[in-house]
Amino acid sequence: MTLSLITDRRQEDVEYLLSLIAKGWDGMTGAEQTAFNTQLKGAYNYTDFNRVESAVAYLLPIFADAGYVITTTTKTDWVADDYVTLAEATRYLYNITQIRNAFTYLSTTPASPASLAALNYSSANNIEQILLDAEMLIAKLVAAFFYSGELYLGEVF
Amino acid sequence: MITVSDAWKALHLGQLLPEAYVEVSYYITEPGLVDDVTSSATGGAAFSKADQIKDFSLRSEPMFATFENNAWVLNGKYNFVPSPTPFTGDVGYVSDAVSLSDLTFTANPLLTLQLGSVHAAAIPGITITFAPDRNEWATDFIVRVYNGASLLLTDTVTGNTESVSVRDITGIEDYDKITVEIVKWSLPDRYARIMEIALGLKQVYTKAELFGYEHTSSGNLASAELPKNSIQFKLDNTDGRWNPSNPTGLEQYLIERQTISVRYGFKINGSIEWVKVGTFYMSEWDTPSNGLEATFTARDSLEFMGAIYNGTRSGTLAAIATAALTQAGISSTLYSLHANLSAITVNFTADTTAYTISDILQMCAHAAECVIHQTSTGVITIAPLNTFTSDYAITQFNSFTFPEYTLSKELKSVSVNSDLGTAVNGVTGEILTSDNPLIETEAIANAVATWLVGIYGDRRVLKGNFRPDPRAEVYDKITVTSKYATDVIYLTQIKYTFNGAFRGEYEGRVMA
Repeated sequence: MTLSLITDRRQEDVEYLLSLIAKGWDGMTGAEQTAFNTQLKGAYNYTDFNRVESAVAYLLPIFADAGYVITTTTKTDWVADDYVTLAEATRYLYNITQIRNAFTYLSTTPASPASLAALNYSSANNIEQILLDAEMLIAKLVAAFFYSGELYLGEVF
Repeated sequence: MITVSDAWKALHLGQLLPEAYVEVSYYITEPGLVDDVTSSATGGAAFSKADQIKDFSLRSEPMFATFENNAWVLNGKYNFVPSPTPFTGDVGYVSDAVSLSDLTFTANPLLTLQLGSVHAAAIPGITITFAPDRNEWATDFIVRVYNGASLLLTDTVTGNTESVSVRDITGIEDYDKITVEIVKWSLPDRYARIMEIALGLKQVYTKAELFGYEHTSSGNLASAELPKNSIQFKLDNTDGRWNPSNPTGLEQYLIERQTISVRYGFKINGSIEWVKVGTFYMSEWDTPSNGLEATFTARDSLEFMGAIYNGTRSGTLAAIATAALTQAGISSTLYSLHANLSAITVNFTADTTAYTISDILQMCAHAAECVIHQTSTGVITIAPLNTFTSDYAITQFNSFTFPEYTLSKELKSVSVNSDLGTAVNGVTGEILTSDNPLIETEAIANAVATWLVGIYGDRRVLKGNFRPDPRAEVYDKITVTSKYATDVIYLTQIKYTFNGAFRGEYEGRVMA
């Protein structure tokens, strides 16, 4: 499995969404109404939560197999009727922070956001970039085991 | 000290301040009307608080992150529902079901404002604040006014495009219930939200409309007099809206004690952080017929306690202060009394002097070694001076001039109630006398005398002009750095003026 995450949100996405909201439904064109009914990149929807939490759930056993055991919980069944409590937001970000702190990352890997409050497009990108880098690095780390000499005790080459 | 964010504090350490704001909200309504209103709603989200919507509170929506489609905008303004519930804080009404694809609701949200009695006075209108922070509103809604089961008025609104809607229901009298039914929302898949339904007109004046603004507050550390807290603002009157002879003008609705709320703001990281400064009550206005400006003065609730006290004259100071505040019409949620007042019992029934309510409160505070002030959230508090030195400092960096020192007269001693209690400060100087009929025992008199020596023992009074952080309030304990020294003072006077930016004057007393 290769993670498919979103890291290309831009300020323009946010401004576009805000402009649609300001118009109200009756002020939007047909094309804008169609766009508004999709899940726009300028917003954080329950599908974003499910995608990120699913990615965390996918990575945790890989990390564990590599010796990086992270004890945490994930929730991958968020629905539109849900709302985010402080406890859930704390747990959500804790998972990202634990993965980010598990080992040394690339110099380009962003830091985990300090808080999920006041989330902006950049922080949302950073969360998913951390997970992409984690997937890439843990794969290289596991592969490196095989390059570094004996795979099993007593092997002779 | 008004609570602000760390970002607010940090920006005041910079050379340049970002854009500053003052917002004055004036509520044209029947004084005291809101106290007779109970608000409720059908349904509501788990975190909805329909009971909050009945007043003009300058409530800011907490912007909870909810998962309606595209509702949580990635602009850094959203927050989380505190857990566990219930929690304190402003929320307003949030429906329990979202709008459908045609913007209607399966069941229309219905909000009700029930008055405790039939009100005869006409109201100039009704102001409905939907969700301005989200830029959402009800496009279609119905306002109904009742007297019992009789429907007096139906105001059906369609095609609204404002997040704050002012409905003209002029002339409605003898009513006891108002309902607002939300029929359509501005967006599909959204909870209906209402922050306020205010019975009256809400006029909001920002710095674009304010021709001048001053906020003056003062306090006495020994409760020798009541604190004063007032604002004065000037509005554009070139269109004659405040002209007394204008039959459609607003001057006809001006009534003493109408509520005025003020908040200050600074632009921080692209958005404005607001802080409530206080609730004031219309006191005076000058609206000359040919004037280009109309000037208004409003004061805090302590200014309106001149009635003769008729409550109990025996019991604890807390009981007496409670009786005084109750007589003044202050609800129990709007005052706070320190435990010191419960520890002292007095009986001055033999004293037939006609004291005012304000006299009683002042004497209670003085006898209990407390000060009185009204907080920025409108709560009258009687409590000892805060001993915590705040993180705010007036330094050479934010002063326009070095602070000026003046010396009060040297204090030799304090005499309370004709030497019932005394305390000595030195061998020379004047004797400070204090007379308070609520101090009846030698022990309390001595304690109060010692307390007064602590206040007036140091003769130094500082004052100056500064670039203020307007979160500073009277009675705050702050540090002031002069050319040669750093002193800790209690602020006793502050004046903020705003002409696009804040400028401040302060005075405070050094206390050991």
